[in-house]
Amino acid sequence: MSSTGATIDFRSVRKTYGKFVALESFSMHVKRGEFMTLLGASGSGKTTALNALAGFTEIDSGEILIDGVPITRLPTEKRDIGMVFQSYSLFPHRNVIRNISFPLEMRGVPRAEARRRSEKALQMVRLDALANRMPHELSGGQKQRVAFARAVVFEPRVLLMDEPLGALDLKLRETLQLEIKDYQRQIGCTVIYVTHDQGEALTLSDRLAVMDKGQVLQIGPPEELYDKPQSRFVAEFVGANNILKVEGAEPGSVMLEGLGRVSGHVAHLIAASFASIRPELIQIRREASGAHRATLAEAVFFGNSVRYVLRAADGKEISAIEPRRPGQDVLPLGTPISFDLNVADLVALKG
Amino acid sequence: MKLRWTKTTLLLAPATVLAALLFVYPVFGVLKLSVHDGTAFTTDALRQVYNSQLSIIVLQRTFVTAATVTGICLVMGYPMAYFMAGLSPRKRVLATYLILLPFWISILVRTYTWIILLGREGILNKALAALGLTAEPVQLLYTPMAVHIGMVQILLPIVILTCLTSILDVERDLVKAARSLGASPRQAFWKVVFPLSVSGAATGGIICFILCLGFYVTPTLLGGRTSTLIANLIDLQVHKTLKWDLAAVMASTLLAATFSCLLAYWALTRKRSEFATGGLAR
Repeated sequence: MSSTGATIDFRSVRKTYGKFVALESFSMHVKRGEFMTLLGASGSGKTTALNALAGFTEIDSGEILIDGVPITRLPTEKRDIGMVFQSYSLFPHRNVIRNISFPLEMRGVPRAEARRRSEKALQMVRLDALANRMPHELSGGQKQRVAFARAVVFEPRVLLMDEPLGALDLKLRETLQLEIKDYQRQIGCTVIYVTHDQGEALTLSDRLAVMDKGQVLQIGPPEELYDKPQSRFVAEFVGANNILKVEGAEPGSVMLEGLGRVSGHVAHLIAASFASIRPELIQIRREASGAHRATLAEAVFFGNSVRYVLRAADGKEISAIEPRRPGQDVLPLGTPISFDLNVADLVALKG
Repeated sequence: MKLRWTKTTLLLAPATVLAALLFVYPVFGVLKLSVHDGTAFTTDALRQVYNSQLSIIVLQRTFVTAATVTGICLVMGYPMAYFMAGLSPRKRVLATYLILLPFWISILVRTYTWIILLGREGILNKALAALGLTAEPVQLLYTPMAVHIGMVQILLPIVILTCLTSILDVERDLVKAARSLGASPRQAFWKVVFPLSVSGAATGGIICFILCLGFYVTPTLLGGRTSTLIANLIDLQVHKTLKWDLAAVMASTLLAATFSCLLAYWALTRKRSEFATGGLAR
């Protein structure tokens, strides 16, 4: 089972439901074989974008292209798109193998060949033993594997996944994330994956697009979005972060919430309204030797690390993650400590 | 646990006593009457009924009429229900009210309206004459057709609503999934919606069939001599000829038929609940 993925283009797509604007000048290019994630809260427009691509939603204006061909006039079944739903959507009256062969049946593939290809797809998701089970006899994880096999058995150029792991528990979710990524690499189709789980988005994607209010706020590889968020929304949405208000600036130094006056390489912060810094980039000093004073307000033990919440001199709470070696004690609350950070690690954010 | 059990018993007691007194006891009385002449068991009544051509014809006619009316109701009701399932929830509620509206009017009144419509001097005949399509009034009333029309009108809402429930039970995402997998709207219907709702429609059909078997008012008012149904014949035996034992045999036959239908209904719903407990996200 393999397919050459297609390119996907959204060109200033707009979709409204009454007064609610679901998508507004939504544009995006997805490369051949790319794993693209749309990340956003509910109502951000990510599912609308997916439904528009699948043909379940008619768009008001704009155009969507697959491999450069406009598809907005094509009915769903002619778009050659595989889709996996959060609710699995297995046909309850068909057993596993007949669920998987459904798309082949619809395409008029001869029965014997359909059977062979379906079995191969079932093998890929390692459920060959369950071919004759009915959907209600499967666990959640098995159901989603079958749904996945069914969505790729006809070798679509595009695979859409709408929060496919949303109904599963954490452990299973992590296992299936790895599997999905693995299958996608084997098959080679272009994937658009919708989720509100930023961890999942970071793990799976080649690139991800953070969406809010029907627009893409920032798009890029996971590392880029994690390291260089451009806006406060992205900085807060992707990964844990400290957002510090820029309270004043003059050439050579800025006043930052929680840190006070910071000087050095601060040129990039002068025009910003906020700065962000990741918890793991803050070094806690057990003595008073650090540049910034604080007291410990909270400590959460994670085994391999400890997450501390530091209360700075101005009352701002800053979280810091400290990697932990065996035998190292968790600092008691209230301990006066100090901390350091590299000014260059402060990321400038728009409002 | 024990307390709850006692409570359940207490709560169910009045209804159970009432049902036993007013339903189970008389039904056994009827059953007994059909095989017992007051002093000893006898098959006289049974033989009389089953050897009589009249009762066989009427019984047959009753079943055929019930089947036909049920068929018409399903063929008309399922598409209507499918249409309603596609409406927005607000419009669907409105449509449901419209369908339930006739229930506010008594069956008797609803049946009389057909006399006004179908009679020799009725609206339909007048219209046909005015259009020059017929020279003389057509016999519409007091025909089997009139009985069928009357019964369909009364039973159609029930069939529509049972079909609607079963169609709405089919998850929307299943249709979306089918479409994304290459099914045209027509294929999605025949491969997914229909197989998943057909047993629900069938249960609606069985309810309709059972109700048809006992119809009395409609054949009495709209039917002629050639459309007498078993309920009319039972009435005749009870009120006119006073042969209660024959009436009891006919009633017992009807009861047996109804029970067979209920068994079929039970088997169907059991199969349906197997799918329903499939753990689909609801």
